[in-house]
Amino acid sequence: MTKNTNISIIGVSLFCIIFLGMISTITVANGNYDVALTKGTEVFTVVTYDESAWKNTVNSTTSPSNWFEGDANKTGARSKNTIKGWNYVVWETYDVFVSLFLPILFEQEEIFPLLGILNSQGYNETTINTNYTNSYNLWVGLRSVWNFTIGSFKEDPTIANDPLIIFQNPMDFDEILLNYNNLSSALNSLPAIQFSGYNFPILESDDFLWLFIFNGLTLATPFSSYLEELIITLDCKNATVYKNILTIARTGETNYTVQIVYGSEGTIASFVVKDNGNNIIYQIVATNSDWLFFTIVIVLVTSIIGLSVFLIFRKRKKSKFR
Amino acid sequence: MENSKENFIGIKPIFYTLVFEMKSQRKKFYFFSIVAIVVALLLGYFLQLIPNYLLSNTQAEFFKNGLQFISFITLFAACLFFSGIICSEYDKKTGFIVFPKINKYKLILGKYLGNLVLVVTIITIYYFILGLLGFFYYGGPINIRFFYSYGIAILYVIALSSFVTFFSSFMRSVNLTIISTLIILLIGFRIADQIVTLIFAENFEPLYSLAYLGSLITGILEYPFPDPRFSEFSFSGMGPGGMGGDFTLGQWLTPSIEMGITLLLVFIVVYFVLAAFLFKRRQL
Repeated sequence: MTKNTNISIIGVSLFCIIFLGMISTITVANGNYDVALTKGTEVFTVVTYDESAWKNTVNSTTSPSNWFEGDANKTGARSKNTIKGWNYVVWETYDVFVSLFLPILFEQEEIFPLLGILNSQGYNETTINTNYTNSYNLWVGLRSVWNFTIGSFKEDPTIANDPLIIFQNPMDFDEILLNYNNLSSALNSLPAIQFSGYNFPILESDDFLWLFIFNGLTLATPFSSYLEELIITLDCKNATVYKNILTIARTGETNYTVQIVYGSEGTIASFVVKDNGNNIIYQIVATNSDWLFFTIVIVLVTSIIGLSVFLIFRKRKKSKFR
Repeated sequence: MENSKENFIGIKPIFYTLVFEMKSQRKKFYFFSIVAIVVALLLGYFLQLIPNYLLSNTQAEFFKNGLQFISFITLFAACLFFSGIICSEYDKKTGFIVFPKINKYKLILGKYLGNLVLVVTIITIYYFILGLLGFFYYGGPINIRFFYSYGIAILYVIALSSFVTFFSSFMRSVNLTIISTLIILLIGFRIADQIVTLIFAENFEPLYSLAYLGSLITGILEYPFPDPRFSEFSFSGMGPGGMGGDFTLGQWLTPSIEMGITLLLVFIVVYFVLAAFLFKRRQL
């Protein structure tokens, strides 16, 4: 072998090692559970919405738009999510408080002044992390979200960077909720918080799960055991798990159930609201165009191979006659 | 019937030259096709395998990022494919053939069209892969501006080819044509643009520059289309106490769509007319 060939082999090997390293370091750095996100777009369609059944069963004054933004209360309305990427991070209690609970409980414009008040009262990052010394490993994904609309999607997303939160260990949720409730009790007793009109609700496990479902809860794989551990850890009274299906029993005007199916990426693939008689009141399903893409690729590859074989045979045939 | 038969006989040599030229340039074509496929896959697919390398917000943004290198590919392809169209005939002294089998204009036209088909195919491969990946990540339909961008890219290639053909009409050798056109297109226009922008800022748009007109390929994918199209940013000196003066840098982002397309068409006509004129004067 020549010197140049050796150098080329070393160069190619180094490139492969660096490239594979970049891809694998982030995805492999965990224990039992793994991230299942893939970059791409899913379209959600409102397949069923029985308005009168909703008013009689769920809530007479609200509509699905209170759960999902936009025209979610119209059959045929579509929403779109594009998963853009994810990163492995370590959060401390302050990060959990600011990045998970505050966006769930308060409007975006309320958060900044609230943090100012907390800081002035001595509840800053250092104090909170000193009092609550836990840290959590998780993946934080980002997605672009187009809210439900009955027409065609706008060019730009409604939310450009909506977080997807995947805790590596579902057992962490118990501690997270406990810390939040303890911190909330302390904060609610502060006169500055009381005077400013803010209130940190003390959350029950079921309420926390319900709020988190609409605010970025994403599962790590294997989904069934992750969901089971999550429910057991939080000690949810009204939630049950079967494979990758989470069923939540709720009470509105009457009792009803919400059935959430998590898809291959750990995000919501189907959302169904059923009344006591198991009739569907509201249903959203997710679709993607992966099958069409792979069909195009298969047809294309087959055509190229077919054409190449044909040309090779024709060339051989010609050279035989010469 | 007779007339159409005569016309066909007239076109036939051009077609044969076209096919011959395509066959003779096939190695270049394979090389550029592989480069186009590799670049498109690297930018559109392999980079996206890195989880923390964020996918663009929209399909149009994805296409814009993926088309960063299209101007380089088209530029190199144009220089390497079209540089030999006229001057190689002088180089090989084909004018001294006593009984030529083909009219020299038909020969040049056939050669030009053969190369154009190859370069357009390379661009089409690049756009096709990028479009397919855009569909994979964002679903359908494909943003209409992607097709506008493809149209402008083809127009840009024809403009580049006319520029190189013009140089080929008076240069002595193929290599000299390649080097001089590459230097002018790759460095010359860009340096001139920077000097002009530095002196005149927003008062003078570098519409003379083919490199600047090429920015419309990605510029058309912007939503909304840049307005104003001249962007300026200032920064202060890094010396102690803010010393070191204030600096302002300006940049023309893209020509307007109407002006860009019109000027590309004007360049195509002007360079081809000049090339034909020089070719006619300089006997083979």
